[in-house]
Amino acid sequence: MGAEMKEIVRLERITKVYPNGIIANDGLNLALNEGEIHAIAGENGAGKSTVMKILYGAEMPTSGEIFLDGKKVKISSPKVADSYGIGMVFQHFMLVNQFRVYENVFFGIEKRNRIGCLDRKWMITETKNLCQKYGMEIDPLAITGNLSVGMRQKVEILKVLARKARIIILDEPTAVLTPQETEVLFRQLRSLRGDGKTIVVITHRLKEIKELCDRVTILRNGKNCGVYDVNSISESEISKLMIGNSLSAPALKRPLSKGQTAISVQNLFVKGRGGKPAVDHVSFSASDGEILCLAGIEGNGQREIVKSLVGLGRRYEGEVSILGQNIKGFSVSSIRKLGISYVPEDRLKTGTDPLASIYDNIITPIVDKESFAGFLKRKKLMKRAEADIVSFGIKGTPKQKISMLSGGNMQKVIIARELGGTPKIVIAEQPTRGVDIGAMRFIHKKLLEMRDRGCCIILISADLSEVFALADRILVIHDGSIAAEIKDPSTTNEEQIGRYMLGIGEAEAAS
Amino acid sequence: MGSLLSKRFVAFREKEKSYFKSQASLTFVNEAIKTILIIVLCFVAVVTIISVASKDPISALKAFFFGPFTDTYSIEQISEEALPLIFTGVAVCIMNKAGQCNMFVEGGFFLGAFLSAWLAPELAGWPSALIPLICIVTSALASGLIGYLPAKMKSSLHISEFVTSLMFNYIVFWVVMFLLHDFASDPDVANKTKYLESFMKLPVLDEDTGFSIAIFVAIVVAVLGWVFIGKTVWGYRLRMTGDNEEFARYSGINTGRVIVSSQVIGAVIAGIGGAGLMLGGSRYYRFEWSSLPNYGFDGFVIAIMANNNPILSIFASFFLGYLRVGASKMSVLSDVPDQVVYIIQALIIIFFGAKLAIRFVKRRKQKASKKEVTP
Repeated sequence: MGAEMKEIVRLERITKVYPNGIIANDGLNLALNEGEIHAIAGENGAGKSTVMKILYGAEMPTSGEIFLDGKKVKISSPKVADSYGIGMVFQHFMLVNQFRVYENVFFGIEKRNRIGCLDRKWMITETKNLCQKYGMEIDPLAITGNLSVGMRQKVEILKVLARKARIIILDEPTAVLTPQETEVLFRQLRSLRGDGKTIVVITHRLKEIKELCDRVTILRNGKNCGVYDVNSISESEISKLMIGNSLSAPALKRPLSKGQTAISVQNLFVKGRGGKPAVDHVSFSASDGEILCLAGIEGNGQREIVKSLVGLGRRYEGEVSILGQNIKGFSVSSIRKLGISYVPEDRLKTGTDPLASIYDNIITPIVDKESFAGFLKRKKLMKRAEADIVSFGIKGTPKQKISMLSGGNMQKVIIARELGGTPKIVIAEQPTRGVDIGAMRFIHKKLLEMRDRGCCIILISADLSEVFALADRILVIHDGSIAAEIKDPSTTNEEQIGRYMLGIGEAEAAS
Repeated sequence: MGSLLSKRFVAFREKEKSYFKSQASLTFVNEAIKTILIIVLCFVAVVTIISVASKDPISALKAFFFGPFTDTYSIEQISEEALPLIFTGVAVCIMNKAGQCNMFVEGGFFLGAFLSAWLAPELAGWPSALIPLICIVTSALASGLIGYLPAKMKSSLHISEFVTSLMFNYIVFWVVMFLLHDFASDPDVANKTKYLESFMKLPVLDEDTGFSIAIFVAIVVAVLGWVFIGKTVWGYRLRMTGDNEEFARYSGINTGRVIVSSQVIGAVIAGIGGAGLMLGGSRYYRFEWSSLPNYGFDGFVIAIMANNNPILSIFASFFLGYLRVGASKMSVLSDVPDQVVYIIQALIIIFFGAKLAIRFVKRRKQKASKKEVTP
């Protein structure tokens, strides 16, 4: 970091208003220096992704100007951004899994030889050169789908580098990485900075801002709340600016008081694709009043375990008992009647009816009860919906279309629906993904409240800080089986869990 | 934190409630304006076509737009035209709301019409109040039973109901033709069922025009359909399944049952429609169709215009009926052939389809932008 920092990008008075009335960016001013790692921090919904997408040409601002190297530019599409040397790595990778690495790297900018055919040799050599130059170890001929998440992210970065980017934007890059992979990524980014590249990291993780970045711009409600040298500001100050007022302390977890066994899984075996089992003879149990966390990298079997618990995956071997009853062959509704609530991972695809109103989405579990001769008791249902909206702090009215809500609010609707009744068992998959800190704290508090009231909670989460905040016991799932059982989370840390998740490190005896 | 929230929200909610209420009514007005605009566009197109096609466009247009109101016979004709459309429209509305694309409305209607026309004369000795009732029930049951087949194939075997229902239309058509030819035909007249005396048909309100209660049966069916979709538990499950099947399944809704029942209900309504057409009004006295009459497919036009709302289907049907009567008046009183109405119908489909396409593209864009912002 030199003393003389040259400004490379300036965004002036950027405003973005979406057609449904949501103001994502409100007169934002932002400046990036050459050769720095700059964090754009803020809660989910603060407008961080939007303003960077505007810089990348994926969105057009309602008003405002962009200056590159002091000259005003109009970035009307990602292609234009590419030509200006701006590249972006999204959180949801845009890779074709069936392609080889070099095909993905040069996707859209394929080199053709004189007769117009693809010059594969050139592309493969170029990919190798790029890898060497930037210190990455990836086989250009590897099939992208077979790589780990961390490696695939590297391919995304290679894509950006192949397009000769000077400015690299990364959107929540560590959301999908284990602690170990995060370290590797940080090293990579630092070396890119050493090469004179400008790195922008969109994040809400305070630790990472402190660890990796030089400067931080904090956004809140679409407005810029200040640019700071990371050295001169503390984590709590950043968090204060992100939220706007002092966040109440995270809910305290009362000591564990276990009750009876609520869920018992014996020798669960679920067939997977390509001969390998998705769940390989897993056994565990969970009791009333405890939060059991299934930690693990996506795709290691947690989904299938959850599906068999909830009744969506009926083809399995082994025994799954809920509240003493073997649920083999039970339908989803009969399992729900036993007292299970389920918060699915994907809000839009499986968690809500995106075309319907908040009211329609909240009343799903009580529709049977609050009906008379097949007719919906509208008044009662509406009252219940309104009560839930108030008690869960949802910003909206019952008749409003749920698609108009922010991600955090949508998640609150789902939580209100599933936790609103008094379920005996709650299975929550990534319940606070993409949710702002205030809502996250709220959901955590609710879960802890239910745990204290004797509810059995199974939490599936990739957010290790959430795991440590909530879990009484942790089962690390790797490759379809339990890699480690941690009966007391205070005896371990994130790095250790990360190692179990990757399948390395000494595994304790599976329960 | 809890008290902070409630304080915030009590202040917030007053502002919010009125804002969102105005938003909701805004969307309704928005939709209404769009629909009116489309209708105006259609009329402009009609006027243009007729001006080109006719040597005396003004009298042709007069006949088209005002003709249907000039005498009671024509007014009654509007309701006769609307009658089958309401039934098939409502049937399609219900199936669309459940996300099912079943074309058996056509075959069910056809079958219902045939069975009623065949059965009614055979029940000649029975009390005249019962005859139409029995025919309607029979048509409903038969149509429902056959409509069950593509529905069950969809829910159990995941076979596209669109394809199987289309095929069933033809199966039903040829079976009916066979039955008509070999069994049901009037011994004195070839390929037509026996004559339907007025006592066999639905009660008539006006002797001169033959205006029967059939149209009121249709309206009742439409209202029941609307109540079913919006106000019952089963209708709720149907809507959830139609909007997002995965979500419905995750919530414990038996989506298989919803898929089957929605299509059977649609087939039943279509069957009742066929019976209602034969037994109501002055137009039909024998079943003599030798090809599919397309009322089922018209149902899709109605559903598009009515935005899958059974109550709006009533209005859409009357509107389409008015256009058809206008066209036939015009063909009688001027030199423009009444096939012009098909052009108009096509334009309606195109314009309404365009409206849907715009909405679809908009929603896709919204979803895409949402996906990145909320990981």
